[in-house]
Amino acid sequence: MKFILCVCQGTGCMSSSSHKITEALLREIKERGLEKDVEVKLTGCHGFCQRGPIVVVEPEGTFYCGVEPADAAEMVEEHIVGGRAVERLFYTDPVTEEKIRYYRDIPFYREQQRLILRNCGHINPEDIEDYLIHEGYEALRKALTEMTQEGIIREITKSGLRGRGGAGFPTGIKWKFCREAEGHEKYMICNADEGDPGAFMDRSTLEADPHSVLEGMIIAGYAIGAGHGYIYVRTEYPLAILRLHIAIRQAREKGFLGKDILESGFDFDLEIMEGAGAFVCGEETALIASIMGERGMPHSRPPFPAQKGLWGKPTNINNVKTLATVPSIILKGAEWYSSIGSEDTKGTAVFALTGKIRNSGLVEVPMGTTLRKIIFDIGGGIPDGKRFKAVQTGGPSGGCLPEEALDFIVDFESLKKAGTIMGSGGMIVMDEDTCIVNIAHYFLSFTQEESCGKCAPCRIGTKQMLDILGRIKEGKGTMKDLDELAALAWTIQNASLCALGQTAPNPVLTTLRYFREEFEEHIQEKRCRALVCKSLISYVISEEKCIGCGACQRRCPTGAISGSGRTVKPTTKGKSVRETRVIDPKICVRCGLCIEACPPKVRAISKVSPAIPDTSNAGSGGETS
Amino acid sequence: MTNETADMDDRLRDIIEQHDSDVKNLIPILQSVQEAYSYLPAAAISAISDRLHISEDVIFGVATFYTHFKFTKPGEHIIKICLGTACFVKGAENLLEILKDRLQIEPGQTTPDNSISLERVACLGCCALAPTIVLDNEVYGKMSSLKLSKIIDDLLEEKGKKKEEQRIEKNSDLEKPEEKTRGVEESKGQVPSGTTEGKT
Ligand SMILES: Cc1cc2nc3c(=O)[nH]c(=O)nc-3n(C[C@H](O)[C@H](O)[C@H](O)COP(=O)(O)O)c2cc1C
Ligand code: FES
Repeated sequence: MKFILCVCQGTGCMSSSSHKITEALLREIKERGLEKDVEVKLTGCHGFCQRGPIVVVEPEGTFYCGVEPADAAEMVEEHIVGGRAVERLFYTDPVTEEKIRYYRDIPFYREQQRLILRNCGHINPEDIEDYLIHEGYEALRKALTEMTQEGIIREITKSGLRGRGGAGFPTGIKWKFCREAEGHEKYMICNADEGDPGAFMDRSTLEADPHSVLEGMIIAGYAIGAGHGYIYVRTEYPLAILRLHIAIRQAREKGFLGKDILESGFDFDLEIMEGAGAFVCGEETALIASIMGERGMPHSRPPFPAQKGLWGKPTNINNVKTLATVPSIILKGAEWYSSIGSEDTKGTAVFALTGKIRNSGLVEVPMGTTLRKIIFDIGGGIPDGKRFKAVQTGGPSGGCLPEEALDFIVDFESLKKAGTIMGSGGMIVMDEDTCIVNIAHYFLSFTQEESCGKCAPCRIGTKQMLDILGRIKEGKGTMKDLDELAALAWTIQNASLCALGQTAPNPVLTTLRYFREEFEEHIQEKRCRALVCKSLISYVISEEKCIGCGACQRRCPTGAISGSGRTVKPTTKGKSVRETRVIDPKICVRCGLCIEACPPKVRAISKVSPAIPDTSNAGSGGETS
Repeated sequence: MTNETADMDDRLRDIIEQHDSDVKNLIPILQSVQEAYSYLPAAAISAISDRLHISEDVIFGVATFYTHFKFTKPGEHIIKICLGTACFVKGAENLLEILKDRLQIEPGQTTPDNSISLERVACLGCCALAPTIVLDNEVYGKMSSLKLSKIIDDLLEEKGKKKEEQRIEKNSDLEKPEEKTRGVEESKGQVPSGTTEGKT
């Protein structure tokens, strides 16, 4: 039996130098003359970057994580030659502390159902042959040779597929509009702008399985009658862009792109357009403007892109994940797809689970799974013994849900009812150390900055809301501000031109709805319970715990820490007692370096809120960290 | 025309021709120019304006809309700090404060000696490794204030060394006597590495 060592080469693992692992493995294998028995294969992201770099031994499925180049020799010697797996590199379950050997047994993967990410981590994204072995381009063959264009659209409609770009519009219906629109020249666009800050589903898909997206795109192009396509990718994703270029070249060589594809008479080709760092360009009409070389400003719809899109021609635009789903539906049928998911939303949802969570990574589950299952069973819950506070979905257009909402299921309608949106798949978990006011301020500052400025409610309204939130953060807010926020939110939601503005107030509204008391504490007690808002906290050194080592003092960038550390008491039990250090709140910039510098066994420094008044060194009123 | 501008003229002509000298491709043209020069020099913008027969205003209008485009030359090193949601929740805001404080510049600026530029970005797509920064195209994940300070220390030290070399001055006692206060920490064991080797 031949071993295959799959080394992850996604952006995450590469940043942990996984290419050096590949080199080291190849060297070890060569040295032992094992080239015939072992293959080292490059794969895309397994979606568990936090534990990277990851090496999976196939076909058995042994999962090694946190691998370093220096481990290569042991892996080859023990596992390949000796037949003994290297236990030290197994995944350790953060909850049970059990060591788990196989991929399929790790709770993070066990509870997932991977459909969009089906190939991610299993195939070599830079080798079309590997994709072809895994049923690659068979759906395209079926679509072009056995199905009519109407038949494809009917199948997609019947499957219940809804767009994964955020709004959840039924894909089949969108294709039908475009197909029925007048004109010979039509365009097909893949939206890979992935603007949600804190999400990487589309990046991973493109990096790990670019051909699935191309295949879905060619099928869509055929169904709507387009001859040319664009993939609009964020420029921040260089590896995804590189792999797409490779994939397009290989697809052309094999005749899946270009003239007379698979001898069907259908011509289709596509090109990559790199974004230039504007969030609003994820919005379809803005994206189209950007491809045309203009400022990426949205326009009001109608006309919809399906009627009048790129260069004024009918245009269909779909998200990466929507397109990556298409080949499976064509191959396995609409009924298979619609048997997965919830009443309202069929299929699976891909989330980028991040933030204060034990297992951070890509999670794909059937629609209808509860938030609790995703966060606690798959994500393993909150690390460091902290308490769950909130989960945020939908990015800057979404909202924060509290603990009571954990039993909500994920699908488009359910999350909307809860006050947030499904969005494209960012899911950020927050614990008690996250300040809700600060988060609301963060999201609004993001949308404020990204507002294109075309319409006044969004441009001016978000600025006003942001100013108010800034005041509250500084402890200068009033209770009237909370009403003002709600009133501004209403206006912005109802009067903005595009969904960027219409949804911008969501993070503020949900936090006000579920976490109002935190806003009130900031206003009335000048207290930030998460100990985050800098104007409302002080750093203090416990006289009892401080051992006078001076680590904090050396690290303090502003020289706010005084005390000489000289011996003040001669030895008790052989140890000297040193003068403790003191922080001057007037000089302290609250950067937290001192807390990190303080030796873990000492932990003498903590934060308190409300802040200690400048003039006195009187006692504190808040909790410590 | 100086040599330099003549040179630029040739390079720009190539870039623009590669993009079919077509206004439709204005953004890809700007991207290629920025790739070649690491920013958009004013002279390049007027050259594009001449060749594509559009006004400079139009080009600036488009270029300033997108945060990717820069109009001043970036420093030798570029630090990008991610302030995407995942990184923010994990304390990136504080890291930005540290960077601003240590480098004495705001995001979008370059240190006066042109050695380091600071940029903020919204998500690098490595959110599982949050908080993240990118130093000269290399991603550094799972950052902490301490790790970041050390990276800055190294950068500033390199910068210091360069200055030293330029001055061709020998220098013997830069070291701080901090090593001498280590006794107690060591007796406590498990000292985080940063506490013993940090130089500020
Ligand atoms: C401000 C804004 C940003 C958006 N960003 C994205 C994005 O990054 N990726 C995406 O696929 N859709 C994004 N959308 C949604 C698109 O406008 C469009 O609905 C989607 O690409 C359609 O694809 P789908 O039908 O496959 O979901 C955004 C919408 C708005 C209003
Ligand atoms: S939020 Fe920082 S990498 Fe995504």
